[in-house]
Amino acid sequence: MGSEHSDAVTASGLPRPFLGYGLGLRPDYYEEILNTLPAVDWFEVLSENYMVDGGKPLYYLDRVREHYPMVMHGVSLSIGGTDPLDRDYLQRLKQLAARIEPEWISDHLCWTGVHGYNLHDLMPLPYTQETVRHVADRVSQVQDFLGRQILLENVSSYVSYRHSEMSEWEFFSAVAEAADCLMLFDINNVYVSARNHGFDPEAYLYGVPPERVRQFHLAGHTDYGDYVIDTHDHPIIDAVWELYVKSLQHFGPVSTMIERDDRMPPFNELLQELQQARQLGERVLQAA
Amino acid sequence: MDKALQALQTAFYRQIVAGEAEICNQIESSAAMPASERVSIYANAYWSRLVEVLATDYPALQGILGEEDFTELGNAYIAAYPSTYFSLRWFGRSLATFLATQQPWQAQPWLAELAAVEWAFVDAFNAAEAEIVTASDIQALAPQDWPGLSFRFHPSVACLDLHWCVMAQWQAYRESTPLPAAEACEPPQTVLFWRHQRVTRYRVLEVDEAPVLRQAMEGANFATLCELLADSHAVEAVALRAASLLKRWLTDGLVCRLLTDV
Ligand SMILES: [Fe+2]
Repeated sequence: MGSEHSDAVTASGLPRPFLGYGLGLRPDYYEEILNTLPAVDWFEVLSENYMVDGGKPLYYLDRVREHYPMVMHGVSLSIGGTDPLDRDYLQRLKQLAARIEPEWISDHLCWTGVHGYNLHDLMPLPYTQETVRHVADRVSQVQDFLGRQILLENVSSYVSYRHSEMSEWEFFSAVAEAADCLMLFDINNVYVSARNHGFDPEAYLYGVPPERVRQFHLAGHTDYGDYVIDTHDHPIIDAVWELYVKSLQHFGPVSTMIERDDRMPPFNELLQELQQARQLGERVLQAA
Repeated sequence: MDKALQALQTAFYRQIVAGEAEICNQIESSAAMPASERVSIYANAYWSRLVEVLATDYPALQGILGEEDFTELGNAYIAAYPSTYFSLRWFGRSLATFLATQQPWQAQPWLAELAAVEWAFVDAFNAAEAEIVTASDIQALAPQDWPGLSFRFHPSVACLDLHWCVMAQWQAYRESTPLPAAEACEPPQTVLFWRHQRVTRYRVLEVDEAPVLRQAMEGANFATLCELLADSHAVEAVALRAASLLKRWLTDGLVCRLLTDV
């Protein structure tokens, strides 16, 4: 899988698998993907959507998997939660991984519920040493259970806590180092959080360890002027494309995908947006 | 375990579900946005996301109630049945129970039945896969196997008894035609839900078929099913009726195993 791409070398000299340019597998496009086998290098699937007993989602998942490499992306791990890790969830995650043999598995650096109640949202954590230890310990448990490293993704946030002791990128890096896990660098989320909290998005980009960055997310958002919400329902804006170019210049080749979850356009529009990511990527990486 | 982190998460949770402001003390305000406005982004997202999940699972109910009343129902349900599972697949499962037991909805009992119908479709959509038995499989049986023959049904197969003609409302909603008024069904209808070739389906059972299919789903054998049919059919008509019901179940794709008791 992905062997037709050349492996890139990270800052530390370790090989970083490069899958190319991918899209999210969404029900709106199942039929079209199977009928046209579009030029998408790989698909990212939302793990929870396929944790069902049977029916259409699993049928299409298996069919699409016959033609494309996949990665699994989850939203329910609650790695920063204070309830015990959900064993049932982890078991299902492992089962799904056995079914589709993903290139890797990712989730978010956040918490999603407390006292057994689920908020179904990616809630921000306070950036403290104590939280680093707490999260890193849970990542290690998950990695032991799954028998593989996982990727954690930076989320968009709308609040920051007064008792935070470090920047978000210092926190993100510290967790990744302490847990020895990989990073899914969401460029749109960096932009959104930078706007909401007034930090410099480039400081974030230059503040994370390149050798741990395994995947990029690109996406659109909704701009309300005073704040920005991560809605995944618009095309990618120019400022995020610019940050993407800087990310490529800094990190080298990183598998890139575009997230689109609402106001779904014709599939062709997503292919064109992906083509834009590919062209930018090839231009930057050739120049390097 | 991190006690301070748990306290923070509890306070944030209480803000989202109950509007308690304590978490705001821990959150930075900026010139553009005070802490209270920032946390309300999460609270608004929580309520609207879950109402949207319900609207996806219960589109006809939303169509019948209208968006405003449906949102009011959704918010009341979210407060009564907060999500406790990682998957949103199960979040709406108690809506029919909620409607049947809470005012003002309890006074319109067809709403609970319509919700039960829509949830039956959700269940059928997500049920496990299984190979189905065809008419030729049954032709291979020896005559002496027939009396003891019983059936295992596809995991998606389920029946609902309805006292209100909500299938007509559901159908009208689907076809965007004017909704008929809620009318009582006399006698009550039994509706069958299942999935065949990845499509969810339903069928109103005939009056004599409903008890027979229910018994068959509980494992009754062919001889027992024939006895049951003898309640509503002349003796000489029973075998023919039983055979035609069975044929229908097979062509519908309801049966996934034939069990002979030898
Ligand atoms: Fe993302």
